[in-house]
Formats: sequence, C-alpha cells, structure tokens
Amino acid sequence: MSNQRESIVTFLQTILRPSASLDRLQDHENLVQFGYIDSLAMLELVAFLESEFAIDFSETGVNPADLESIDAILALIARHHAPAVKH
Amino acid sequence: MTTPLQRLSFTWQKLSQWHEDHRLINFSATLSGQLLLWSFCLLLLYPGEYLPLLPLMILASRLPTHRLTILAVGGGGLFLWKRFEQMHVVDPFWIISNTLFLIGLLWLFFQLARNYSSLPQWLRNSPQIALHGLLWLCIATVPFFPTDFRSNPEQAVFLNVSVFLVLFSFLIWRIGILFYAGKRGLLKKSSFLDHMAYCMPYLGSTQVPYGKGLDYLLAKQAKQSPDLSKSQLAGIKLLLLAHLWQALLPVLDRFTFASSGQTINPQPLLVKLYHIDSLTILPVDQLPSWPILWGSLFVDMIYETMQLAITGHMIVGCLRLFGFNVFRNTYRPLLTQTLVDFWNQYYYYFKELLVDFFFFPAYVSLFKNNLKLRIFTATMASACLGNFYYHLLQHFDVYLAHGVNITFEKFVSYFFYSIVLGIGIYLSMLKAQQRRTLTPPNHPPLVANLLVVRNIAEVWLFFSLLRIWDHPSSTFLQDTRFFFALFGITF
Repeated sequence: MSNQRESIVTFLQTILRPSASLDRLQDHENLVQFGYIDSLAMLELVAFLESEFAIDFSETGVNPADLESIDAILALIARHHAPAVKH
Repeated sequence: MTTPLQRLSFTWQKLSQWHEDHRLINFSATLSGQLLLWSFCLLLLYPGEYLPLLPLMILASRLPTHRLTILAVGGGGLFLWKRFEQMHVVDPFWIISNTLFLIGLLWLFFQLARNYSSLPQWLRNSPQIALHGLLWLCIATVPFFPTDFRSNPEQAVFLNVSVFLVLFSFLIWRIGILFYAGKRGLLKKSSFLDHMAYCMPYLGSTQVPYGKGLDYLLAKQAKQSPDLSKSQLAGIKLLLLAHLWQALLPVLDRFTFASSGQTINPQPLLVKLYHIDSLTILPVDQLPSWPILWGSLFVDMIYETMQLAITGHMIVGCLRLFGFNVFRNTYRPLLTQTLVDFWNQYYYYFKELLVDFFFFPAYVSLFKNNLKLRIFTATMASACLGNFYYHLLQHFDVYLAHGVNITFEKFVSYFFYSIVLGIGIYLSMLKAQQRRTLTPPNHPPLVANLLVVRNIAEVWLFFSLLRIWDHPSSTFLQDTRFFFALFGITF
C-alpha cells in the first residue's frame, strides 16, 4: 500500500499545477477542488493508472469520484486488485 | 507592504464571499436567521416559476434526512405539472395514466440498472448505445403514425405514444446516469425514490441533469447544520446574482440593442447594435457598418452568457437551498483565459454530460498508446459528435409537434459549429498541457496583466465568432456569408 501511495505521489508531482505543492496534501483532500491538478491532468492520471496498475477503465468506465483524492485512488486500485467474490 | 490595488482586491474578495462568513452562517442556523432567510427567499422567488419549490425547501431544511424524498416527490410533481401544462394537457385521466406510465418506465429502467450484473453480456458491454438504440427505434415509428393523430380523438393512442417519446427523449440522459450507477454497483444501497430527485427534475430544467446523478448529489449534500446554512447562503447568493443579471438585461437592451425579441427599440441610448440571429438572415448589402457588426458580435455574446447564467443560477440556487451545495452551472466564463476553461465554466453541467457520456467512454476505449490521439478522439467524440447529437435529440419534440423535417440544411450549421469547437478545445488542451510542464515566465506586473487581457480577448474572439453558426434561424450559407462580411469579404 505504501509503495502504491509513493508511486501515485511521484506521478502527481509530474502533473501538478505550477503553483501547487504536495507538501501539505492530505490523502483525503480533493486534488482538483483544492487546486493541485486540473481536469486535464486527470486524463493523464487515468493513463498512468492503466499502465502502472493495469486498471482497465473500459470495463467499469471512469468515475471522477474515484480519482478525486489519494485515498480514493488507493481504494480504486484495491478494488481492481481484490479477488472476485462469488455470490 | 500591500498596494492599494491589492487592498481593493482583498476587500472585494471578502465582500463577494459574504456567504462564507462564519458569523452569518451561525446566525442563519438560528430560528430568527432561518425566518429571515426564507423571507428573503420568498422575495427572491416571487412571483417566478420556482416559487412553488419554496415550501419544499423549508420542509427539506426541517427534515434533512428526507431531503431527497422531498425533492423527488415535490420536485417530480412540479416537473410533471409544468410539462403537461406546456403540452396543454388538461384531461385528468390522461395526466394520471401518462404519469403512471412515465413512473413505470423509469421504474423499469431502475430495475434493469439495479440488476446490471444479471443483464446479458451484449447489454452490459454497451448499455448507453442500447438505450439510445431503443429510443431511435421508437422514433422510427413516428412516420407511420396517422397524419391527423394530434387532432383526431380516435387516434388517442398515437398521441399518447408521441407524448411518451417526448418524455423518453427528455429523460434519456438521466436514465443513462441510472445505468452508470448500476454499472458501478451503486443502486443496491439506494431506493427508486432517491433517484427520482434527478430523474424527475423540478421546474424549468432542460435535458441536462443539473446536479448530475445521485452519487454526486449525496457527495455534495449538507451533512451538518452549519453545512446546510452554508449551502443555503450560497443558494441565496446565486439567486441574487440571477436577479442582478436579470435587471441588467433590459438595461443592455435599452442602451445598445435596436431590437430584442418582439420589442423594437429604434433609438437605443448608447449605440445601435443587433442580436446576431437577426443579422445572419439579412442580405449582405443590408448589413450595418463594421464597427456595429463587431460590437453586436461581442455584446450579443455577453447578453447570451447572462441569460444562461440566470437560468443556471436559479436552478443551482434552488438546489443549494434544498441543501445540495453543488457547483455553479456558469462561473465567470467571460474572464477565462483559455478555450477549455471557457467551455468548462460556461455551461458546466452540459459539459459534464458530454464528458460522462462521450469523452471518458472514448478516452478509455480508443488509442490507448498515444496520449495526444487519445485526447483528440475523446474531445471530438464529446465536444463535436456528442454535442451535435445532444442538440439533434433536444429538438426532437419540436419536430414531432410541428412536423418539421429534419434536413441536412437545418443542422449543417450546428455540425460545423461542433467540429470547430472540438478542434478549438483540443488545441487549447494541448496548449494547457504544454504550459503545465514549463516554468511560468516571470513578467513584470503590467506585462502580466496585459497578457491576461490578451488571453481573455482571444477567448472572446473565438467564441463570439463561433456563435455565428449556433442559430437555428439561419442556414449554413447565410452564417458563412455573415462571417466573411465581418472581414469585408462579400459574396
């Protein structure tokens, strides 16, 4: 989990708004609303999650709420990598 | 040390954010504060079409756990009343049967979406395409209706079907949101009634779901009492802004426009400008002088933006008063510095609709190995194709009611508009992406301010010119002739 977090933070550094810094970012904070990234950077985030964590958004669609904070992104990764539960 | 300009900017910031003042928020949560707030609301909503929502808002503020139900039942009832009134339906049996039919239809789609995982694979692969395919299959039956079905009581069944089609095409994007929620497994924990809050929108709304789906509304709803007061004050602020723009429109008319709608104003006080749709239909040799043309182009864009802001502010303001502190529909688009920002802030919920239904589906499915091509395809799928398709569907009820043929000529102007818009937004996105990777230049304040003005002027120029092709009253050739006439080229 901490590796995943580190990997996400490292990537976020590359798509940050020029005026933003991740120093004070808390994991639950909304990345777009708090001005860390713009909506265009979200697209790059999707591409990053596809390549780095093999998440196939074509199956589930993109729910912007899943990308709004580090916590939400980690939960998304966990959901995608959780073993399928049979009912 | 702060300069006078900075102090002025700080004061303005503080004044314009009055609704976030903690003392005011705390006061408005008290009984006397609530009495004042709702009295003020009464003044702001009277005598408009949103006034019937006021008792519902007050009820929702007293019963916050039933907020969604109140919005769904009350708002839904008002929505139906408004729609049937627009259709001039008076027969109670007819209204009840159609209402039950409509609710039954939505319930059916809700059940389908709720049992999403049990649906056949082909339907789960493309639920939105299947949904729109079903609508178009229904629309395809219209030419087979008897020609006198609107006036012949014996053909009432066809009239009922036509009303159903109008409502189905109106609700299709909301049903699409239901399917998205089903796909994400969000319907297991919610009731049918919860989803009616956005499926049956209250008065005056369009096909665009303001406040989007249930998960968005739930994420934005006030959890505690101070959140509710904050949301209500933010709602009041939007209603006030709507009234401000509403008061300014006649001033603009009086000072600048030679005609507005049915009203003729032969001698405006300041300058004699025209709305663009009245200029594009004129023969080129009857057009006014260049300064008047260009002035009309820009002032008409400001005018239309204000009109859009009024509609959005009223709807979002009411939603906020219900306790859903959702984003504004229109947020200072005329001060944006890029095309993509303008597009984002001009009509937020329409843009969101296009992003959800066209942009992301294209983005996650096509050209995954080439980011630029991927963004281009997704942008064209949303701003161009999706935008065009939405408007095609939006005008379906007009064609059904008036029997106008959907012709290539009728829509070619808007198709051109959509293509140019898509390309413009894509280029603006690329520019924004490149700028993000560069160190911001360190210009002196004057140069920096001049650059801001230049950027804003570029955005105005692009959208005011593009709007020439966004008027149903003129043909593509008329619009194009008008565009060239602006640069002195006539044909």
